[in-house]
Amino acid sequence: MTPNDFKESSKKHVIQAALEVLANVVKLGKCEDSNLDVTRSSSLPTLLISIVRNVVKSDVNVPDLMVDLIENISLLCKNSFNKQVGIEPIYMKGFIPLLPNLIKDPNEQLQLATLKALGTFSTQAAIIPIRMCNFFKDITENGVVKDVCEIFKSTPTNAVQPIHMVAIEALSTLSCPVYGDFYSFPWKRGPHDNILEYTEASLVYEKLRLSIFTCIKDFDFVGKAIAIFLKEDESKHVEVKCSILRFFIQLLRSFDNQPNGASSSKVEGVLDIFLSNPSLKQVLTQAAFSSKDAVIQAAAIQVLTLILRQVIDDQNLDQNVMVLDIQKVYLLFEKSSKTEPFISIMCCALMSEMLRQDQQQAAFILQKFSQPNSLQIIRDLIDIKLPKKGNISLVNGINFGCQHEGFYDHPISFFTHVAEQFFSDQRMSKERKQEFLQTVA
Amino acid sequence: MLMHFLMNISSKSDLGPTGFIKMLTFIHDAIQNEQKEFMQKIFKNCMKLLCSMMRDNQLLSVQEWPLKCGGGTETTQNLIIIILKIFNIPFNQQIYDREVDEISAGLAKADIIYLTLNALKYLTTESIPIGITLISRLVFSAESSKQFAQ
Repeated sequence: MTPNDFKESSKKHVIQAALEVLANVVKLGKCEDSNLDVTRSSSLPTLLISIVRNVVKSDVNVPDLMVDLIENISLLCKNSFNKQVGIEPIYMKGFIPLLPNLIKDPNEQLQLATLKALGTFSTQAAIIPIRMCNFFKDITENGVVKDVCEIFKSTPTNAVQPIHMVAIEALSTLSCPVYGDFYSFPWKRGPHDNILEYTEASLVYEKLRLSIFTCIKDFDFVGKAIAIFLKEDESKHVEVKCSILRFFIQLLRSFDNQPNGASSSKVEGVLDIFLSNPSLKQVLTQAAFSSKDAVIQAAAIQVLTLILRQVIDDQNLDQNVMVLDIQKVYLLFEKSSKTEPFISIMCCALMSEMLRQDQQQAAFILQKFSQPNSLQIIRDLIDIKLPKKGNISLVNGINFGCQHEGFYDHPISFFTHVAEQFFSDQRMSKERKQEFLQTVA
Repeated sequence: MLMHFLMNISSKSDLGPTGFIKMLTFIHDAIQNEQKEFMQKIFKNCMKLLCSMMRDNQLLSVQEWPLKCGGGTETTQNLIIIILKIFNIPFNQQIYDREVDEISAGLAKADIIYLTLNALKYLTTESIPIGITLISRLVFSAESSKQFAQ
């Protein structure tokens, strides 16, 4: 069939019906012998991609058919993905170069399908990020990222559409992937050649993050992200909310205000943009203390922690721009310790920052953590005999294979900060220090 | 609990370099604050592990771990420094005088002189004295070494 054939509705319907059957077979079909599995045959994606390519080149306008084709290509890619090969070359060479044209199409349904496909491909690529480094390089260089940012930019704050939700989900997946392989922390093992490969590849990931930030920093991306965040009904779905919070976390990590070595980039920091939004703090505290979803709560606390850390470290900023209620944080820490210890772990990080922000807050924390029951919670959080409940990468992402921090980092760091206060405070009586140490013991 | 955590540290441990160094900082502070029983437990159960943390393989793996994820040269230096500081405390505080001989013998068995000398190459000039101090304490606290030094 040539693109002109699709002008005839009967022919177009035939191929659409065939695509629907194919989609069902890929999604629902089972084949015990993978050699006999026709859905894994490379001729299927080759054919579908060539149809898409020919239609893109022609003046034939069949967006509904293109949507079906793109959805099937995504499904086939997912179906054929394996960790040894990654995304197969047919998609890398045939389909990825078409994305810039597809995403610019005026038809919103086609744009939406393309964004979804981009999300699927990005998720697949992030499973083996080093091997798929070229994917991230290609989409940075072929302009797709810029187009996704443009769609995000077009978000009307009072009429958010699914396309805007998918756009920010795609940006989040690209800058902060969640699922995939990651290396173990560097304990009791020697150096690893793969980490050197990671270091080399991380330049590509950083460039991708930078290109996203460069595109979004000139418009009110926080306001638009908040509008999208509020649009999602938490009782039905939480994916978009989680993606937005992870996106914020990654931006705060990558574009830290501090010009020290820990910052990955020397471009203008993101903190001022966050602080200039009048409703961000309210939205984050609402998510942290009132959400019903543990990942949303934990991720919102992490965003607050990173903002607070940067506020405290920035000598030029008024510390009062970010003041949180320590009692609420402590109560959340205590309440979640049995049901969702994962949230308590994140509260530890926030309390570590609050401990150094203000003397009154510090006094409250020290008073609480000189008592056995509070210390017992921390003890349980770092007890490796207890099952580890929660996955920190759902909040922080996997950073393309090298995690920023481990599950136990926050409670251990917080405990050390509390202990430091007891050890170093000259005003504290020797008896009180002794009492604390005995409780710890 | 922290000691148990430390004793079970492995490549599967979900703890980054930042958390690990914080854990060692607590151990240092507690021993520095004359927690004798705690010190005895740490030196009895974790000395070998702490020494193994100063082996080349271990240090190189922390060094190559990305800076943004808590690794890198500075973290490697901090790791060595905090371990050496922990080892130095018993030699500096009277409260631990009785334990010094046993600690010296344990450290000698764990090849500490070689490990410290080897670890110096990771340190900056300003931090080298911490290692040299430990070596001198070890040399001058052992009876046989005193004779040798004389």
